[in-house]
Amino acid sequence: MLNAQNIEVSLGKTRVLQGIDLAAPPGKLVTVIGPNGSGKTTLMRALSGDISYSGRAELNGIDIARTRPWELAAMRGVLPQSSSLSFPFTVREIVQLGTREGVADTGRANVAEALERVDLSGFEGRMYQELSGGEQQRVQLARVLCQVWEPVLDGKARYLFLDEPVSSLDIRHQLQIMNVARDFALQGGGVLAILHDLNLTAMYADRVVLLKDGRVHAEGAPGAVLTDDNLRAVYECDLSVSRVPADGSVFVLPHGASV
Amino acid sequence: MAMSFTEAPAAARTYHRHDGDRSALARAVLAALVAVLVMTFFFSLASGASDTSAWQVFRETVGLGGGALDLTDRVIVFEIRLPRAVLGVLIGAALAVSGATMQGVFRNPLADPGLVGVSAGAGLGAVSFIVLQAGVLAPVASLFGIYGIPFAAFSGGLVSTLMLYRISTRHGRTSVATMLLAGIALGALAGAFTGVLVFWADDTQLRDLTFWGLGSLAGATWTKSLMAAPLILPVLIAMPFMARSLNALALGEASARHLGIDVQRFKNLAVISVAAATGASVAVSGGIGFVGIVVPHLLRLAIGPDHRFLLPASALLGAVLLLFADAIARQIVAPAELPIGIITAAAGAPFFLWILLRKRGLLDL
Repeated sequence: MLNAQNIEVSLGKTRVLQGIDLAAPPGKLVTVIGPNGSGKTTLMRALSGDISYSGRAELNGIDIARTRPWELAAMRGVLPQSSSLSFPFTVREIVQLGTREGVADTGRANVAEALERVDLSGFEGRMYQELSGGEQQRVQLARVLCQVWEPVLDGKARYLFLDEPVSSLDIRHQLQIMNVARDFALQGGGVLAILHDLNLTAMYADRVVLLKDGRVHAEGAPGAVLTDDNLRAVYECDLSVSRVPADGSVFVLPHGASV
Repeated sequence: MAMSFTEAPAAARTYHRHDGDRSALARAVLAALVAVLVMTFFFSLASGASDTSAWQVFRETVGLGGGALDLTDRVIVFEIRLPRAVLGVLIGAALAVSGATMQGVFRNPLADPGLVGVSAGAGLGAVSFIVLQAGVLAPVASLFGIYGIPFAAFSGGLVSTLMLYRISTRHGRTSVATMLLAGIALGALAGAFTGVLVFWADDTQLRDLTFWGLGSLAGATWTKSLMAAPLILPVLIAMPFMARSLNALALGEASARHLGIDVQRFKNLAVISVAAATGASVAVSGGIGFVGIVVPHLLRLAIGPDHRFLLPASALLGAVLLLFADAIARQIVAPAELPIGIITAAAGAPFFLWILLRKRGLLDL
């Protein structure tokens, strides 16, 4: 269980996050959405233990601020928004960092299978720096999957923290990666993902946290959060939310929206 | 590593279990380097003005000599050449490993203690000690004995590494241009202070300074090895424990932390290691440049950047290269000898320019 209460973060003199409450239960895919600068990445950095915050954040009952890096690493993997590599590693060597560095017990983590899940089978021998941006992003996800290979370990859920996991992917791979995240949740793990795509949020999220100016504007099931009023208030443009006839889930068409 | 085969169509590409796995190659290279180091070591014991064969020396060393070497040769080999070869191995390994470690920490293949002012800082430490040991540093001198100079060099190296890191790294990102420029400035500053101290030095101290500053393994004694070993050996022993962190750090500091590395603590350890290895080398052999940049770079081309293999391979190749350079330094103007720093600079500087040409993009940060 990931539980955060009253999280506040100041960077310099600016207060970036104020009074954030967030719960990401095991088995659920929780997405954080909001406009640029609303504090999504800062929230994820706080919950990853990268920056100091006030308030209380717990992962499986352990205080995130007071836990050593290797203990956190055994419980959650973090996919960064972008990453730069300083030396020419092969794809296999990058993914193996997830199985070997830091975490002792990665179970049956398997490079070939991880690459297959992100649709990069056979890429083991390629140089990471020669791949396209989208391929690099998927290699990084494969690495993170290796780090938390078993979604549940010793009866405790492990977590995937994904910062814009599909930002540079084509539509097919967007769906594929979101399926990987959903499968992780279906097997009992927890997923916290920052997304920009409101439709992917509507399709995949079990719960949605909508941020505006460092505060939670709305929180709940996608159908309850993705409403005309909420989106207008947060994104400051007229978006109309409709429902898919087949299953009643919502979708957002930006056509005709005025800004 | 050129991939010379032609690209097969995607459908026909077969899956190989070991694709992208360079660890077998790296192990083979490590084994080969051990063999080459052993051969170079005995070759360096045998080469010089007094003629002995490497084979004779080897037999003598393992106790099968049966008097093949006469007394003069024995003294030359075991009292002059052996300490020199041992010191060469220590210094070569230390220089190459501190280069590789620094490049890993700064996440940048151009970082090298010699280029960015760490050696100059260590040099300032050593010179301060030589000049001031009879004066203000007398209590330190009596406390540390023969370890005074290495310790002073270590302190100087540590201060300049920390300053360099503070200046060139912001939010976990090192700007290459800032690092190199700050290194030039720090080196110049250390050089200026060193100049002042040399100006103050009396005649005996000047003689010490001149011998020390040649950048040479000449005058190697068992005492010098004893001075350097306590700082260098712990760094070599720590290598396997640093490899994991350096690998993770290649992904960036945040990702390394997410993988479970205590980044700040590791960086402290790495900076101390670099200062210790560089300081010890500078203390006993003056400034020997470019080993720390050439060796890791060549090895990365051959076996990839996995530090589990890169660090030990750097130690081995650094030792081989330094013994080799020392052999050249002794032969080329025999019976006199060149400072070894001239050989490594003559070979290393063009190599460094070549890296720059290939990676010009690195500087556009």
